[in-house]
Amino acid sequence: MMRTGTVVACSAAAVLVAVAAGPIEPGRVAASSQQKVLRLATTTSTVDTGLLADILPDFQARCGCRVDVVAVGTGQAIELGKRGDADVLLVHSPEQEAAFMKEGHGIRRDDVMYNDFVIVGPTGDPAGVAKASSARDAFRSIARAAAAFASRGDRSGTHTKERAIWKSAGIDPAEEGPQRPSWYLSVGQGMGETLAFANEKQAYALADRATWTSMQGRLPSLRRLFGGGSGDENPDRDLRNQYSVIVIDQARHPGVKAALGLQFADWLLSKPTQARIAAFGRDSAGRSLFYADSDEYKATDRVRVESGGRSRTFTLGEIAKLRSTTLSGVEYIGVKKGRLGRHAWTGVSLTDLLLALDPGIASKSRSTSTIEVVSSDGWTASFTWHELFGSVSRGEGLYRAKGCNECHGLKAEGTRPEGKRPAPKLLGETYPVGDTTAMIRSGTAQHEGITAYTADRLSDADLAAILGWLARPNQAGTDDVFVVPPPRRIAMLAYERDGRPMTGRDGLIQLVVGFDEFASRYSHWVSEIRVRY
Amino acid sequence: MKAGATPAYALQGIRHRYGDRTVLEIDRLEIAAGRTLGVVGPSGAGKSTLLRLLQGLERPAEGEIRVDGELFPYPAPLALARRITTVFQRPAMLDRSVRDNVTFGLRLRGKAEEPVVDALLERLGLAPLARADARKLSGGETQRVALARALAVEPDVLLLDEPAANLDPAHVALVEALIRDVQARGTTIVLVTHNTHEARRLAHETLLLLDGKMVEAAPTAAFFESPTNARTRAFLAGELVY
Amino acid sequence: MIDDSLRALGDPALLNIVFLTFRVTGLALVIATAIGVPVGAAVGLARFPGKRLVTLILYTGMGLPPVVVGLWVYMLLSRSGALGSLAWLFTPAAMVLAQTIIAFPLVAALTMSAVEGVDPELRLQVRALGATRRQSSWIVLREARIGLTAAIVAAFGGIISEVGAVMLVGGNIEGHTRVLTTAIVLSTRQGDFGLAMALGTVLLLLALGANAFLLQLQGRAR
Repeated sequence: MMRTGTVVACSAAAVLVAVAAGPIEPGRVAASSQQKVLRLATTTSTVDTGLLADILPDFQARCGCRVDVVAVGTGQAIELGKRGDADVLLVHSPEQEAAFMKEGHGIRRDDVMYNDFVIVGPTGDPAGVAKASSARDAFRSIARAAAAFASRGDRSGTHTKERAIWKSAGIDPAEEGPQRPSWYLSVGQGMGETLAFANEKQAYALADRATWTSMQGRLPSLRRLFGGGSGDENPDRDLRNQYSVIVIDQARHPGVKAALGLQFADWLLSKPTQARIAAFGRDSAGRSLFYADSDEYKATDRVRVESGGRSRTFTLGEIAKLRSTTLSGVEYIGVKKGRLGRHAWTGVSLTDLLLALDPGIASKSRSTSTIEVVSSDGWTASFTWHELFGSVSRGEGLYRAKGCNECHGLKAEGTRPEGKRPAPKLLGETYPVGDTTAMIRSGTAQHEGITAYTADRLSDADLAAILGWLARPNQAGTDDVFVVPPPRRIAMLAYERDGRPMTGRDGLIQLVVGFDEFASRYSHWVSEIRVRY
Repeated sequence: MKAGATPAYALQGIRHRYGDRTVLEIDRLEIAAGRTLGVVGPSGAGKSTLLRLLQGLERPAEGEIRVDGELFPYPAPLALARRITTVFQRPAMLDRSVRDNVTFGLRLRGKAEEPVVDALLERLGLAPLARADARKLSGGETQRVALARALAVEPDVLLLDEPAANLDPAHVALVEALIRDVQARGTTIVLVTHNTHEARRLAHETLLLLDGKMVEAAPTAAFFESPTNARTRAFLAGELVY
Repeated sequence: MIDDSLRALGDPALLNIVFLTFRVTGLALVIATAIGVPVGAAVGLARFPGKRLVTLILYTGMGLPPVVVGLWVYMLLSRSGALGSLAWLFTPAAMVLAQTIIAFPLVAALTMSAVEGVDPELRLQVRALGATRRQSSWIVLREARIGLTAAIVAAFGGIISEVGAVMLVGGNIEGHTRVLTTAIVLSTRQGDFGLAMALGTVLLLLALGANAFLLQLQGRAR
């Protein structure tokens, strides 16, 4: 009896062990223990859409390593990074990322790509979200109608964005406790589950466009109600969904493979990979699911210049042969990139470039003409003819120097930029100095969300000059000319910074404008210059 | 008789308790080697407890037990433990065949199945049941299997607790004949029974336990024919009702 | 649904997932059994002070949510955790560890109650027939084999169907730590309910096969 018992027990154990350890291909185990492994913690959308499966094999072949993808919510991915349990992060929650970098967990953070968020909801649209002018408007109407809203509720990038929109709408339905309205349903799950939930519950939801596009066919009761048919058509720029790559700091978290992480980041940001990201989804979904967004991808080495029927493409080499100009000692307050700082720039002035195309261009002076400088990512900076070739009144000059043109337009004509709040026309309007000063200084009322223009940024006298120009645009006196100090009286395409050529990451040809204080007309990636007569 | 190897029990000042209750009190008792001691008494008198002490399954709360003049050690060393075997009143069967149950003790000792197993099965009328599931037997069959199982290991000391309680008269004769054969081999036997006739037929000495206390121990003939104790007389006359 | 099942079965990646599922769950079960059965038997057979407390802990352990175990194991294996230097996090080893911890109380507690269910008279009888302590324990375990099978089957069922812990400590890495349950979660999250159902069917069939195998062993042990 001892014998049979032992035999049975041994055979049972043997079979279990065989099942447990047996059929492994021996080579695989050996290989995996020696192979370099890069651990990438990322948000679910990059996996769920199939993007990583599409692009990663190329990197694995190049590095001779294996990439272990841990797909979790951005909140958890960032937590993995904080504990040193991941080597790189690919996430989409700029606020959380900024805090993460500030705490010193990462050595590098770069924009990789973006897409955008859309608001989906029941086909009947009881809250009238389709009629909203912005995401915040849409959220307000959902709250007003007390229509069911499904929130991720998981501290993911999407959830963080959703909270930010509620906050900007002045509503906090996610507040804990009995105040939480019954229409606000915090699901606490991934994007796919939340959309499936919304589909069943006839609820509204904020979704990233990539996941929505890939799941749309399985969600018959839901429709995209806000966000346009593509990222370019999204009427609210706040719905941009920016993905970044972060390399974890080895000094802070020993054991993290920072070198491999940097190699990965470089590869991810390189032009071929970015092109692949940009192309991903065109075949299967009919359109790109992500917009490539790395600096290197956007950097161009040639500029097409067009004026009055003439056009010519200048390569970087050709630009460098033109008369060079330097601009130094200018400190920019970088409102967009925050990293302009104090540098010496070398490049060609816009006027010299235009003269190279058409030596007689200066005589074609027309006060209504504009010069547009277009970047490879679609961003456009505009100049009036007089800014480059003539002189402007003090008020008009200050209007642009202080960055008012960014929202209200080059000539204060008012804009309705895609994805941004419409900015009213200011030219020809008379505004009371006192109320306007208060609004602009505090960044409230119509200026809510706009940088507060404190007195050190915009003096009372300068503001009065701007308001004077707006009220009487055509009455500029000769003593009222906007005087820019000579070293700054220039707008240029720079190709060297502090005496060194710039890299693809920096942007090969940058637009640097000496007479703007806030770098509102700044670009890393100039690709085209057009003169509109 | 295995000369010199036969154990004899000597009990002195035994007090055994379960919790606060004293269940056994024996001031002095000797069990001669190669003899059969009948233990009689009503239910709950402490008969089975006495067997557990003699088997070494329990250690007396007070007093000492000597085997062959040596103090009974706890736990009993294997060599000693394997010389003693008990057939319990309610014999528990292993979840195996009858034959495997009977062979069990031999297997524990790492011995091959000896012809003795077949002989015992045959002798006790169990041969036709050899392959049957031991848990599905009747009370009488179970008791016979238990006896066969104990005898298969050929113990020096055999402790029997009501070995014939569930048997029909034909099998009682069978079992008693077998016990006599074992006696003839010189095995020391302690036979616990509520059946005074059985004790009278098989035991050399007889002991009466009442309420956990030893009332009288005497050679069997003397015990039954001229008991010295009034309570023994009353017990034998069937006057003690418990 | 049928199409999805065929699609799932035809996928070579599935084989990998199935294989890893068995490797992780099987190894966890072997380890949990190797430790849990002796511990359960010892607690069930012995009498010692604090036995009730140990019993209470084992019974409570049976109800541990896997995700809590996952969290413990995660904190332990994290690079900033006590065993971070092992670099086990997001590897099958971490999954085995978590599942072993989940399976252990199931095996131990059910072994304990199976052993306690064996007739105490039988234990006395076995000793009276001259069994050593080890022989006696082994025989009691054999007598309790139905309960033991139930313990192993319960533990197997508990861990092969478990998702919270393996997701957390394994990371659901494709081709490396993805098992059936996490693959089901993934396809559910992607809205591919058909594939999720198909994978669920595969899991069910495999569990059926494994249990049939275990029951076969129990039958043969008679």
